[in-house]
Amino acid sequence: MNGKRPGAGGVVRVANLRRRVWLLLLLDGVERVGLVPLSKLRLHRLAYLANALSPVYDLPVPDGQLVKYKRGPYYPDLQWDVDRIAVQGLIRIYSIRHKRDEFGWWLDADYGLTKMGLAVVSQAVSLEDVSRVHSYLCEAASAFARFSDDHARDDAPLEDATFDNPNQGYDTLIDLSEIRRNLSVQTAASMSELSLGDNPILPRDQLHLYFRYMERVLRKASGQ
Amino acid sequence: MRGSKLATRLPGVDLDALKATVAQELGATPATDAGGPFAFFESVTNYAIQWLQNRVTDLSNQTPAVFLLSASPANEVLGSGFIRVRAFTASLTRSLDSYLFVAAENLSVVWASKSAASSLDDLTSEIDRMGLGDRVAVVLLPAERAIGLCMNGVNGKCIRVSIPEHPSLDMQLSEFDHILWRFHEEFTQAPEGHLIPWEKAKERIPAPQLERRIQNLLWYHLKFVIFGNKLIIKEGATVKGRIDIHVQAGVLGPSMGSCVLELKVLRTHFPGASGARWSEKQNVDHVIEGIDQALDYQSETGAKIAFLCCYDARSVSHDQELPNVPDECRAKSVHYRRYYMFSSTPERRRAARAAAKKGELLAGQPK
Repeated sequence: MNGKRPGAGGVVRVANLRRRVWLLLLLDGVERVGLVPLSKLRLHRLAYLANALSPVYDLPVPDGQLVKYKRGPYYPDLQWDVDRIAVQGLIRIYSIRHKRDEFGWWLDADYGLTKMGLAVVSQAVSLEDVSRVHSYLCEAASAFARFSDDHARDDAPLEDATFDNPNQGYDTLIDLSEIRRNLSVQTAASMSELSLGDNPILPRDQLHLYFRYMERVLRKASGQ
Repeated sequence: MRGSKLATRLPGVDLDALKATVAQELGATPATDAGGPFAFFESVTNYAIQWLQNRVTDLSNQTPAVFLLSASPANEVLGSGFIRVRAFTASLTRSLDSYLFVAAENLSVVWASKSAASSLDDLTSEIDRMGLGDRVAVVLLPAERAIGLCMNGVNGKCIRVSIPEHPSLDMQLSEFDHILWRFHEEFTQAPEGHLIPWEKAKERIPAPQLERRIQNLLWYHLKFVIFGNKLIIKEGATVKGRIDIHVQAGVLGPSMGSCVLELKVLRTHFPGASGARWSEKQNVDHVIEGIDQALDYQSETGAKIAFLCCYDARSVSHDQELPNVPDECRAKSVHYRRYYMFSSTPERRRAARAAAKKGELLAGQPK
């Protein structure tokens, strides 16, 4: 990062535009499953899982690199996009809060789409490649919505196999774009080997099962 | 269950949790809700049929209700006095009189507002004022037992259909039993069955994906061949998992109401080169899981009857029942049926003769 924000300076590069459309599609998926307003914490965690598991749907990882942050998955560029698109009137900010936790001060907010944001999504999904990504993100949001309670929605993503990899220290770079290092996708893929019979588990089932797996690990860790 | 070569190599992955997830959650993935206006129309129609069947009061004075399709109901109704309905089920909704609903396609998210309008025209004007006049709308007219789909908004043209007042059919449990038995005879009882149920009949190795194939064909058989009714749903989603087959209210008539069918295959061998085997205990566990699933789906849908149909491909004689299972099902009011799959037609004939000699029937055969 050269200190300049992506897309700053008035010229929007295609890559930045693509990333913002991806964000709108993700929020559309969240709207469809009734998870709006979605907190900043959950938005980043869902975005992380949606990034990590993209290869399950045979899609490229749109934002594969992030630093393993002590507060959990967090994308500064995504937050920049959220704030910028909100000012453009496509994302609604429901509330803004300050809070202090063991790591210091933290600014939190809740997000959803505006009507204009929905209209942009409607236009965008008429493109075939966008439509595929949209289907995937709706499915990821649907799997996320099936976490059984708020505790799981907040913390189950931290049990993700890549993020929770014991060999990966804090403040080091996580690279999801390289399948060899993307333990999330490998774990989801390994489920086929565990199923009874010789039937492969379909990508959609792999995605949902992987979310259920994270919740199970969370429950186990908290002694439930 | 086999060990996973890949999973054991992944650092930090909880293999036990992974195994348990696959064993217990596979099959619970919710059905996809992609479908658009027609899927929305189907959801509301199903809802309306159930709602009308639950009503005993006079509906002749009821004003219409309008359902508007939205990809984002919460966003659509922001600041306009709508209330989120957390449990939108036909049995819990007392009145639809002059209600406006803004809902997701499968009615998983519903926001409601009671309007003061006394006619459909007033209701339409109100929708226009709210800026929702161009939304796909489904209009329910309880007084006329009719429902309409307006693809271009409430002001546009409407495809209108009637909801029959009384189902023409009133099926009894024994009749339905005969249908299930006949399906077994035609499709799964012998190696020549239309479903081609065995990979190697003599060695009693069932065909791959047998449970799913039985589900698909039984659903097709009931929906298109026997009843010709769209209210027979495969893989219907509930918060407790997907129902193998759900025969919704209105298909079988008032005596049986709606029913859910949970399907299981009992086996000793798995197909393919792995040669994996299943013990009797694993079969029992599989069926006990099925009992719980059937009860969950019954409570979720309000179905009158829950069936647990087990297609028996175990390497045992046809009259060998699973220990404790019939008693457990009886105690929990689940209708348990075990349909034995014979390795050959002569074997079936011999078993039928032996049973007849004892004055008995084959497993699962109705009287």
